[in-house]
Amino acid sequence: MKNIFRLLIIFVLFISCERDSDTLGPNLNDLFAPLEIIEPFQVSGQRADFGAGQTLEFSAMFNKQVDWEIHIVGQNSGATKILSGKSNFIDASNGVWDGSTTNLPMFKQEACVATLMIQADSFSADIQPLIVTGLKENEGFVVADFENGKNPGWEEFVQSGANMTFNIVEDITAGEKNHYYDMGGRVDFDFLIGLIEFPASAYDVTHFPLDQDPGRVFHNVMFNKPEGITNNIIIVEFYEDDNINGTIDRDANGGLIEDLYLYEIRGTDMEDGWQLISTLYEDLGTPLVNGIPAPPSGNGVFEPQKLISIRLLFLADPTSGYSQTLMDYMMFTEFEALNP
Amino acid sequence: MKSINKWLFATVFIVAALSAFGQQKQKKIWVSGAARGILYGDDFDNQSESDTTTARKTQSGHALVDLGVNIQPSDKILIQSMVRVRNDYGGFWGSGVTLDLRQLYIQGIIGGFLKYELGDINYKLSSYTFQNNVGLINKNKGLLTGISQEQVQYDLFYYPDQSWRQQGAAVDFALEFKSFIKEMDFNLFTTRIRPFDGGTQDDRLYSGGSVVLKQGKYLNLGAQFASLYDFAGTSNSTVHMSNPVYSFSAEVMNTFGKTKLNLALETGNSSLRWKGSEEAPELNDFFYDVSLKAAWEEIGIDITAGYREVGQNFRSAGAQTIQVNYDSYPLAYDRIGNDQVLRNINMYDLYRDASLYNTQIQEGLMNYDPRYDNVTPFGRATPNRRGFSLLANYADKNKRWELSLDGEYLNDIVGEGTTALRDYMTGSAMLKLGIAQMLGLKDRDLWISGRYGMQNTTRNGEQTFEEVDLKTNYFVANVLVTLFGDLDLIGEYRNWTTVGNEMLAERDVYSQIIDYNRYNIDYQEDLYGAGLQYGFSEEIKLSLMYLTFNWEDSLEATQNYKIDSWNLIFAMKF
Repeated sequence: MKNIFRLLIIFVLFISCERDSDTLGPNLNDLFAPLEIIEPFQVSGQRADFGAGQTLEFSAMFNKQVDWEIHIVGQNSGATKILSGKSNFIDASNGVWDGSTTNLPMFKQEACVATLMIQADSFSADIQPLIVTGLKENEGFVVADFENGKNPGWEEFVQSGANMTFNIVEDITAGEKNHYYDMGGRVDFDFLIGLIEFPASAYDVTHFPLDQDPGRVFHNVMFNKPEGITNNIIIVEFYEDDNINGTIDRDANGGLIEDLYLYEIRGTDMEDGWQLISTLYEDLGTPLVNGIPAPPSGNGVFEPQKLISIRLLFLADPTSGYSQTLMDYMMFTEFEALNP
Repeated sequence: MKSINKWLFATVFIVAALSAFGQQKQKKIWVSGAARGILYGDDFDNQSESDTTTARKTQSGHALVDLGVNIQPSDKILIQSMVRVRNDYGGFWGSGVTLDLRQLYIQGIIGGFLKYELGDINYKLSSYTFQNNVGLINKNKGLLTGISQEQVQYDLFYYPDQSWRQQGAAVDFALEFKSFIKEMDFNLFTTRIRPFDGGTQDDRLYSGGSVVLKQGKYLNLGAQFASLYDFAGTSNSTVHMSNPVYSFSAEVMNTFGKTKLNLALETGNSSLRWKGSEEAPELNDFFYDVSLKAAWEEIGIDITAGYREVGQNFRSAGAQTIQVNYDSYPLAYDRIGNDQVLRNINMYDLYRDASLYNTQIQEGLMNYDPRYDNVTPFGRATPNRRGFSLLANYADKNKRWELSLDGEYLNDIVGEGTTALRDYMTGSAMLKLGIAQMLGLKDRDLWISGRYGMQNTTRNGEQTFEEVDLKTNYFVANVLVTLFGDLDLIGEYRNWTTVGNEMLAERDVYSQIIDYNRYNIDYQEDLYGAGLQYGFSEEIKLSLMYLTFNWEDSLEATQNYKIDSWNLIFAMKF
C-alpha cells in the first residue's frame, strides 16, 4: 500500500508539471478566415518632397495575417516601388515609402498610384494621386548622370560604323531624371563599337574621392538593354595610379605597369529595360589572357582611393549586327549598393 | 553471370543444408524455415463500361521457401543463416526466380551469464521508447484475411511481441541478489538504421537499453533509454540529428482477497534536435502514463483504467514509427480507370500487400491516414494527447464466451492553429461465442465472433473553419465450423466506414506543422467471403477462399469498384 501511495505522489507531481501552451502550427484564422478590412488602406499625405527627407506612411489593418504588397507606380515614368510584408497590419514599421524605386526607372516629379494587393484573398485598393514634388537624394560620388550634357573632361572614342549614336538623349523614361547616354551602332570590322572614359581629372581631382577600403566601395551604374538586343557586351575598366604620380604608367612596350580591374556584362545575361548593376570594388576582376584572369599588372592591391580613371567599352561581335545599350546614373556609394 | 552465381550458391547451400540435416544429431546442424504457395485470382469491376483500360481479371502469386541453416558449433553459440528462394507464378526454368538472404544472426553466451546477439535482432523496450505498434486496421484479425495478413507480417518480421527487426548487436545479462531485490536485468543494443551514402548523409544508428529491477512479488522498477542519431564523422554532413528518449517505469502488484491489483506508471521525456543547423528547432517534451488493473481470476474478469498525457513535442522514433507507409500505393490495380489514376490503399490491400509497409524506424512523425486511426495514429505515444482509457475483459473458463470492451477519451493538449481543442473517442466491443462448447460438441469446433468499433474526432470553435467532425465505424465478424476431421469452413465479414471532415496537419522535415489540408470523406469499404481450410497440423495449412471487396465513395472523390477474388494459400513452418 505504501508503494502505491508513493507512486501516486510521483503521478501527482507529473500532473502538476507545466508545459508550453502555445498553439501548434500556423493560425487557422490566418489561413481560412475570409478577409475583413478593419482599418482601410490609407496614406499619411498626398504629396511628398523626398529630397527634403519626407516620407509617406501607409496604414491598414486586417482581421488576419496576410501576405500583402503595395505597388506604387509613377504615372509618367512607369517607375515602381513595391512594399511587402506578412502581417495583419500596415503601419510605420513596415509601410513607409522614402521615394526609392524597386523597378527602374527612378521616380520623377510626377503623380503616382498606390495599390494595396492581397492576392490570396483577391483584394486590392488604390490611393491616388500621390504627388512626388521632390526626388530622393542618394549619397555618393556621381560619375555621370548626363543631366547637364557631356563633361568636357570625358573622352570618347567612336568607331566609324553605321548608325552610331554615342550621345545624350532627353527622355522621361531615363533611368534617373530626364537624360541618359545612348550607345549604339554597327561595326563590322571590330568588336569595339565605342568607349567613353571618365578620368578623375574631369572632376578637378587627381583621384576619385573614395574610401580606401575596397570592401565598402560600390560602383553603381544603370543600363537599359532595348528589346531584341542580345549581342551587347559592356566592359567597365578601373585604372589605379599605384605610385600616385597622377598618370597611368606603362612600360617601354606600352604594357600597363599599374593595376587595372574590370567587370564585364553581356546582353545574354541582361533583361530588357533599365537595371542597376552594383559591384563591390573588391569583387572586380582582372583582364583575361587566353580565357584565364591575368594577375594584376601593378601592386595587386585593391586601392579605390588610387582610382584615377574609369573607362567603359561598348562592344559586340562584328558578325552580329547592330547593337545598343543605354546608360545612366553612374556613381560610387559607400557601405551599401545604391538604393535608387 | 550473376544469375549463374546465384544458382550455384543456392544449389550448394541447399545440398549442404540437406546433407547437414541428415547429420544433425552428430554435428548439431539442422534446418528450419517456412514455405508457402499463394495464388490470387482477382476480378475487378468499377461498374464502368467506358473503362477500356483497366484489366478486368488478373492472376498473381508465388511459391517460396525460406531455408534456414542452424549451426550450433558448441552449446554456447548458435548461428542461423536463412535464404529465401521465390518464384513468381509465370516464371519457369529460372525466369522470375529470386534468391535473397532473409536473415543471418549469431547468438551465444559468454561466461555463462552474458547473452549476445549479432546480425539480425528483434528488440523492444516500452510503448513510449521502442515498440512496433500495430495499427487499428491490423488489430482485429479475420479468419480469411488473417491468413494472407500472417504471411505479410512474417515477411516483414512483425512479431506478436511487437518487436522491431533491426541489424546490429545486443547484449543481455542479469544479476541475482540474495535479499530484498530478486533480480536486475540489463539489456543493451545498437543497430544501424541507414548507411553512409557516400556524400552528406551520415550513418544513422539506433541504440538503447534498459535496466529492470525486480523486487519479486510486489515491485518492479525499470529505466529505459533509446536514441536515434546520426553518427557524426561518417560523412561530410555538418548537421547531425539526434532523438534520445528516457523513461522510468514502476509496477506495484498486490493481492487483496480475490482481487489482484497492479498499478503501473511510466514517465519520461524526449528531445529531438539537429545539431549544426540554425533553422532546425529543438523539440523537448515529456509524458506520463499511469494505469490500475484489477483482476479476478476465478471469474475471468480483469479491468484496467488509465490516464496518460503525451506532450505535443514528444518525439520517440522507436515508438512512433507507423507500420504502414501511407504515402505508397498498392501493387495490385495500382492505377484504375481510363485516366489510370492512382488507387488509394484499402483494407484488403493492407492484408495482402507487404510492399505497403515500413521496415525501418523513421525520424519525426510519418503521414497517417485518418480513416484507419485518427485518435492514436502513432500508438500510445501519439503526441498531443491527454485523457482516460478503460479496458475490460471477461472470459468464460469453459470457453463458452469471451467479452472485451475498450475505450479511450482523449483531448488535444494544445490546439492546432487555434485555441479550440479536439475531443477524441475511440472504443470497441468484442463478443465471441463458443457454440461448440455451449452445445457440448467435443469432436468439432464451432464459434462465432464479432467486434464493433468506433472513433469520433470533434472540435468546436468560434469559426466554422475550426470545426472538425470525423467518425469512423467498423465491424468485423468471423465464423468457423469444423465440417469433419481437420477441415474447417471459415467465413468473414468486415466493414469500415468513415464520414466527416478533418483538418490534417502538413509537417516539415522537422515534424513541425506548417500548413493544414482540408479533409472531407464519406466512404465505406466492406469485405466478405467464405472458404475451406484444411489443417495438416498447427504449422501446415491449406486454404481455399472466395472474397468480395467493395469500395464506395459517396463524395465521388475516388472511383467506386469491386474486386472478387479467389485465394489459394498453402503455408507451412518447419
